[in-house]
Amino acid sequence: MKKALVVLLLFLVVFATLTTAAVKRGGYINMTPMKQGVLVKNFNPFSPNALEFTLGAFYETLVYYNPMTTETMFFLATDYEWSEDLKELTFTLRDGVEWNDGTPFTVADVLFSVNLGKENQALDQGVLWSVQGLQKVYAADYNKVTFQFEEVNTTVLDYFSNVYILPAHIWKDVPDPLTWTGNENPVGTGPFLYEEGSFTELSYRVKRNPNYWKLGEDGKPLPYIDGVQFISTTNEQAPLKFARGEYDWGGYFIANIEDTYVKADPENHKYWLPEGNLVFLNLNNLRWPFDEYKVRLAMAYAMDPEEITRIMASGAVPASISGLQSSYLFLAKDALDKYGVEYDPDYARELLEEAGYRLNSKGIYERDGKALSLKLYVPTGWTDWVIGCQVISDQLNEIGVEAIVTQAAWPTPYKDNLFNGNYEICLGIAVTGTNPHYQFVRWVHSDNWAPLGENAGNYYGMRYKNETITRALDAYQRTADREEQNRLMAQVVEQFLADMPSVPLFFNPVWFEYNTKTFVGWPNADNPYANPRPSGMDKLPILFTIHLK
Amino acid sequence: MKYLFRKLSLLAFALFVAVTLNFFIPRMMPGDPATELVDKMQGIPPEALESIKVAFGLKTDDPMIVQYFKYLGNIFKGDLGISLSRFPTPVSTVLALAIPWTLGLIGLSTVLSFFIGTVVGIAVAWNRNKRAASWTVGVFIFIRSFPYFWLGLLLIYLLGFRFEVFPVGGSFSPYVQRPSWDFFVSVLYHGFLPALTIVVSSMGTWILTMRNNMINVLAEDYITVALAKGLSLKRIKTLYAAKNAILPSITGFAMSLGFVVGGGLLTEMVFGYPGVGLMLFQAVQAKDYPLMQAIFLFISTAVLAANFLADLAVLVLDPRARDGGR
Repeated sequence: MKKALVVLLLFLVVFATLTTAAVKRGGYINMTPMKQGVLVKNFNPFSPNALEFTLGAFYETLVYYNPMTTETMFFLATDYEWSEDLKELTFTLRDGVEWNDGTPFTVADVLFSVNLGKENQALDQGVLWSVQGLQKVYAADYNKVTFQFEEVNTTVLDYFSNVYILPAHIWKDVPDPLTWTGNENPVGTGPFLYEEGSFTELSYRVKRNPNYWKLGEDGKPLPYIDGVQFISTTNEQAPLKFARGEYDWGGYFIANIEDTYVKADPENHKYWLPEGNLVFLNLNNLRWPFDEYKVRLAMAYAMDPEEITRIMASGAVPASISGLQSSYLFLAKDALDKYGVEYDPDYARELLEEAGYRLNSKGIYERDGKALSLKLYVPTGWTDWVIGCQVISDQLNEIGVEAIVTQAAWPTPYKDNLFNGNYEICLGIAVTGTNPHYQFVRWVHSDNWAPLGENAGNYYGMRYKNETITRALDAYQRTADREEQNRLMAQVVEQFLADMPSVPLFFNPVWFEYNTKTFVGWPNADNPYANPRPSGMDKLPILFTIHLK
Repeated sequence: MKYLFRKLSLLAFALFVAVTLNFFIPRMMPGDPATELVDKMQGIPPEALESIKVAFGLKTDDPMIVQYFKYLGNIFKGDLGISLSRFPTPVSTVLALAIPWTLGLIGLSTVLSFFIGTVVGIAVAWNRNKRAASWTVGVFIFIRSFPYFWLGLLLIYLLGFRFEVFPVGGSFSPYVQRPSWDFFVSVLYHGFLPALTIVVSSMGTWILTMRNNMINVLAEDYITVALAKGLSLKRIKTLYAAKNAILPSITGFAMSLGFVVGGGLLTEMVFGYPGVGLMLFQAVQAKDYPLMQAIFLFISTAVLAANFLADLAVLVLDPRARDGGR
């Protein structure tokens, strides 16, 4: 009896400490939908215009790779394993997960969802069949699914962050999943449910799934918040609505954000602009004068990204000369010590002189009668970039290079010129994706090389070929060892810096405004635990963390 | 009858031209919607571009002319296609969401502005020698020269943002149940500023047109005769002068009713009002051809129909038109 009392007392003490430490539950956050103006109910996961909570909040993936923490988070899978020859990837599924209509989630749902894409490219999530070389998917056990690939390609794991699992018992009778609009009240496994009757042209609500499988710190199902109220707005309206504190989470560009948004309530109105895609000075490596290393290096020394982004004032973040996002800068540590570049216009001039260039009467470097007077292309009307190019032009002017800012329409002829190599210098964009491999393989792999005039296949590259880089990038895909992958990536970055095929300038920002008046726990520069994008799986770590103040 | 037939065949021809231009013009724009989508939205892997093109039905081998005839056929069937920016929702569904808002806001304000403007126009013409009349005309000519959106921004800033009397945008509060009385009130509350913008800035035109016509008519001999006969002034003002003076205004009004369906593009943008104008703007940005085409088709049909109706109205009101315009 006494023992029982002690246990009870202990239990009470533990319970008390737990409840006091526990986060406060409840509340609806107000959020801007990505779509502006009129909203149309669309919860079809195959539609590129599905409302943002369709993916992630209703339907989940097996795993999700978080590029901010560089960790793999497990969702509908609890583990994965590569076969000995690295051609088979096996996921172990989570036990006891139910669809929100009460049907158990099984291996059949995974097989069904993946097999939809086998015949129909439009349903091929994560481009598994059409690009990644998936050959077969089968149930290895009652709770194991194995994916068999044609070749060794370990980076395919990242693509599973885009493969959403649908309930077979609902979707198997749908004749054309791509155009199906019948899932008015989606049956998913995710942390949120559609709140029936809440849809209007300008708003909708989702509420928490009370039976979600993932538990919070207090031992009860996540999320902590009761739901999300979406209210659509437009670019024109957003700054006013943000300043009035009408949103807890926003994803809009706001000009002059300090004065318009933060000033209205400095205590609570916060923003964080993490690094998105990389913008770089694209130097055509196959054409004069950038077929020469010293000239390229001179360009790198002439650039001051701090000044460029400050004048652009678009929220862009200066990039490391390695082109790596901050969360991956550890890969470039040694290479930066060896080949790092700091803004130094005098040294840039020296480099040009070493290459045999001399100043002509107009103050422009010239060699064999050819002056370094070049057109700097920028897409028409991309105002922030155009301003950036003016600054770049000024900075180049300081080292005796004339860059004439020339606007050309995107995508024609701008993109076509990139495809065909018809330029000397322009602003380029490199999709950073989930990790540096994703970025560099599209950017500097020799697969993207083509002779001038021939289609290079994508518009990120600068007609660059480097066998060391190509080998390292290929080897990366053939190992599942993280350490080894990091070593190979460091090698790629070192080669990149040693050869300087282009000059990384800045990252386009991911726009993220948040309000701490009612809810706290948002990611920010000090605690960058998630990429604050409302699309896809990126938002989930945030939705699992935020709670009432 | 001949007059009617001529107008009808003109209408049919104009419709055909509008439909044809409607097909070709959006296709002359550079770029395609799938690329646009991938470029704009971060998070879609570029590899998915091909999948999206397949989904959008952009991977077609049909030559342009075959596409054109398919398009004509679909229009006759009433099939406007699938909206690309809101895939896979049909264009008709998307458009149906926006039309009531535009008809409600822009339509009502245009009618209101016409009526108030015309009545004021009659009054200022009748009292043209009074100081107040000249002032009214002056003030409205001044206001008329503001662009709609500028007046809108001013009202939003003052009454919406500074003094928080009205919402800064939208067309209703998402927190009220619909349909209900509260919802109706919320719609009126949200519609007040945009409606005020339109009424105030477009009224000047009606006042001026009506006033000038009225003054012309008042100088006619038959008005003098009517005065000499000793008819009541009210009768002269309404049935003799105003009825004849209103003809050009009616034509103008019909035209502007036609343009109503296009939505006050700028007004709707400034107020974030979910009407056809805002939708058109977004469709253009997203290169959503089917939606753009449907909206243009809708606008051109409405303008042509409104013109036709204006012709009919003139036929009724003006006996001269009845014998073939001689």
